[in-house]
Amino acid sequence: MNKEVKHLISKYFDEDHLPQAYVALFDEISQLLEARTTPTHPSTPMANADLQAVYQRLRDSLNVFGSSQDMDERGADLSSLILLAKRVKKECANKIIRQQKQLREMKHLKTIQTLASAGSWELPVTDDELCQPGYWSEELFAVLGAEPGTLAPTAGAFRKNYVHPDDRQYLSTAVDKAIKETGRYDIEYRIYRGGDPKQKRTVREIGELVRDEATGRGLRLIGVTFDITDIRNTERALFKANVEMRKLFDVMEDVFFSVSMERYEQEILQMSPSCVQLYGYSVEEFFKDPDLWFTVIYDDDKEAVLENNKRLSRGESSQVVYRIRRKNGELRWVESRITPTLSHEGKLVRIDGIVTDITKRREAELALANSELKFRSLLENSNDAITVASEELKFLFVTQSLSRMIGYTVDEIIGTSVFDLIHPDDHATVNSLVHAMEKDPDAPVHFELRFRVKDGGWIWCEGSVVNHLNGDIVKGYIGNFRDVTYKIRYRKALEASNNRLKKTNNELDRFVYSVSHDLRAPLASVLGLLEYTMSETEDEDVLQDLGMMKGSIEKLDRFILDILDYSRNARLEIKVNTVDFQHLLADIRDNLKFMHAGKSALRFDVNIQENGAFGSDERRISILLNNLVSNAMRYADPEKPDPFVEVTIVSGAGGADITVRDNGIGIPAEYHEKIFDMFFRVSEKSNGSGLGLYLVKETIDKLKGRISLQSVPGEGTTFSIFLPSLL
Amino acid sequence: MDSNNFNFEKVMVVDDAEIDRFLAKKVLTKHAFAKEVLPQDSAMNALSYLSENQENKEALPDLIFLDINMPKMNGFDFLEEYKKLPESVKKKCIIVMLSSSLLPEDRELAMNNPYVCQFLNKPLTADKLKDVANP
Repeated sequence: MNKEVKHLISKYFDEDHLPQAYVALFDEISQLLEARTTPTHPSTPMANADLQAVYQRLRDSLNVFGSSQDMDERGADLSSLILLAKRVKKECANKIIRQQKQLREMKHLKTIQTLASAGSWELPVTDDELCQPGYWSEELFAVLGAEPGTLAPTAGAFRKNYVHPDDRQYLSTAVDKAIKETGRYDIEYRIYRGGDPKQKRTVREIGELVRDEATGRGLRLIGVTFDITDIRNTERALFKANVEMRKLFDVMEDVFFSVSMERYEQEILQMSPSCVQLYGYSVEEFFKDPDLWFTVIYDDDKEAVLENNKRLSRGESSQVVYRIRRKNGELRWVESRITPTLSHEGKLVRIDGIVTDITKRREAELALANSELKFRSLLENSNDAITVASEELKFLFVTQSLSRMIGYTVDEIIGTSVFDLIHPDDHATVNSLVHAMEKDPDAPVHFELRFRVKDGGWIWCEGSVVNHLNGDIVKGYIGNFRDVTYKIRYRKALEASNNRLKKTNNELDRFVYSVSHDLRAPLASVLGLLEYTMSETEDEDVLQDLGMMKGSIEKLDRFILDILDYSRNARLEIKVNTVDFQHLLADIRDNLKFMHAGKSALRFDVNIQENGAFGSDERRISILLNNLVSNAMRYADPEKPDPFVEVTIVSGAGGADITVRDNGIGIPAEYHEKIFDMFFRVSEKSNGSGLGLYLVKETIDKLKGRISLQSVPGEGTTFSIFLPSLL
Repeated sequence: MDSNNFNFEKVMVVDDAEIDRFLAKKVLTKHAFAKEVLPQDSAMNALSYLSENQENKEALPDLIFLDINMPKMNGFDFLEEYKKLPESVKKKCIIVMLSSSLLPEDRELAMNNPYVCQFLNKPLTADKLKDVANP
């Protein structure tokens, strides 16, 4: 191919994608040029007919380009042909350039449409109506959410398929008016993207009418439709934010302000209305008096504020707490935070700031400081020591009171190990305390430990410690204790004396038994011999003497028995068991049979009604019943034909009611109060020790029961006892 | 009580007090409780006697009155040793505790011993003997 042509192609075309028609044309041109520039065949000039044919083709080409008119009619001579060819070449190049440009513009337009989500369209107007299909750009299809070509581009299809039903009328009216009157419209309306009511979008549409210049009637309506949903949403959000901002500004308790510092006199640019709440002055008042902000500052704080504001000129923001006096004279604590703006030259041009009412916070702070002070003073003046020890058992904090207690200064104690201050014998206790606290944090553990005193020696301290290693405020073992040395010493002394007492008591008990046995044994021997001797003789005088001796010895024996019972009652613990009254009364009956063998024909009646388990000390009940029954026998009335003693027992889980009734000689009323006294006897004739009823009373007291009596001399006596069940 | 009809052939009385041994012998004989009374002044001597005569059924007592409070070896110590004697001895002898002890614990301890069949308080009287003879 001809070089020139090749150059042209490479300059204006993408050689690889040259349209086929162009290739043929370029070939032809190339050949022609070759023919001209190759003088190798001058001797073989072209046939006239051939030249004529070439000429004709060149003219045709020029016609195609529309530039043949101005050409002189030239012959088909070679020079003309060359001229023509040059012309064709030029036109060809121009056309290529134009096409190129057009292509670029199209591409540009398309890109813009895509970027702006704007689709363009053109519809023919026929008799002021949009009936004919027109042109929709690809992007318009995209805006509508439709595939290009799937739909005839008519106004009717557009409105029916995509426009929100509520907005169809609105759109038609606007379009109608534009065609008939204004020639232009610019409206917003809603569409269903892809015809889907769920995909609501807002579009803006601008339409322009192209008129027939002669008639003024509308020819075409050209327009652009673009999706402004996102823009609208953003705008709406922005508006909302603005409104809220405004609201916030109005309701904020903090006061915002901006002040221009450019002129000599400061000029307030803006101030939030909340200044009325904070200062008691309105925005207007602040605008009117530029110095008002300074006037309201509490006199004592003015200097500090001015000093702080110097930072602003250096471009540093300031934060300062001071007091202001409100319009009503009330003092308020405020905190102001100001950010300065400097000019390029470093001059302060503007400040923006917030003033916050911190009166409440300040008061709370002061109250806290105050309460801290009180608390500390309480701690320091308390007699209890309060300590905090680390996990490694080193003192982190101790109160002055500990120092007073043990003589070391607070500084000497802090940092030392707990073990250094605690008696070596108590280290095991400390370890067990730690163990207990590990098991159950938050539960205070009680302790008694010996602490080292600086002057030597030890003091006993009693208190508790709690595991606060995971505490929020205080981390560590918190101890709280006091000097109880005197108490412990007292207790130790008490324990020792208690032990001595116990020992004495035991000894006394053993003593009582052994003495009573040693006393009784010979008595029993004498009694035995007396009885034996009495059975050997018939002599009345001797029998009477021996009988008196026997009575006396029996009295002594009973006395010993009573003392023994008394001792047992006073000293022995109560042993609670289910009481078997049947068995108990049978024993008593046996016992009495020996005691009063052959002495009296006393009737002994027993009525027992056991309604459930009754618990008490059976041995003690036995003692008191034995005493009451033997009293009844001893003081039976010999005059009566049927002397008796009757024991009635009604027992159950609630307790036991015991009645011992006799028809004996009775007790005169004046003695009723006294008969339970120790060693009290109604008459010298009475054969008792004077311990019996005392023992009964003591035993009943021990069993938490009560006793009462009814007695009429000559008629008999009734003892009524109630014993609670101790089970 | 029929004086010619003895309750027991041989009755042993173990007591450190001479007066009690004396009284027991008198009472037992008078009321024909025993044909022969074997007084022993200590638990040790009583045990020796039983041990020595364990093969001699005739010499062994039918009943033993045993005191509790005795020096060196008391009634309960005796019972511990008695336990070790052969069945032949234990089968023949009935043991009755006879004491002036008022300790309820003593009575309980005695009654819980399998070889003791009764607990009597001193002094020994005719009435008490009746209880032993006809329990």
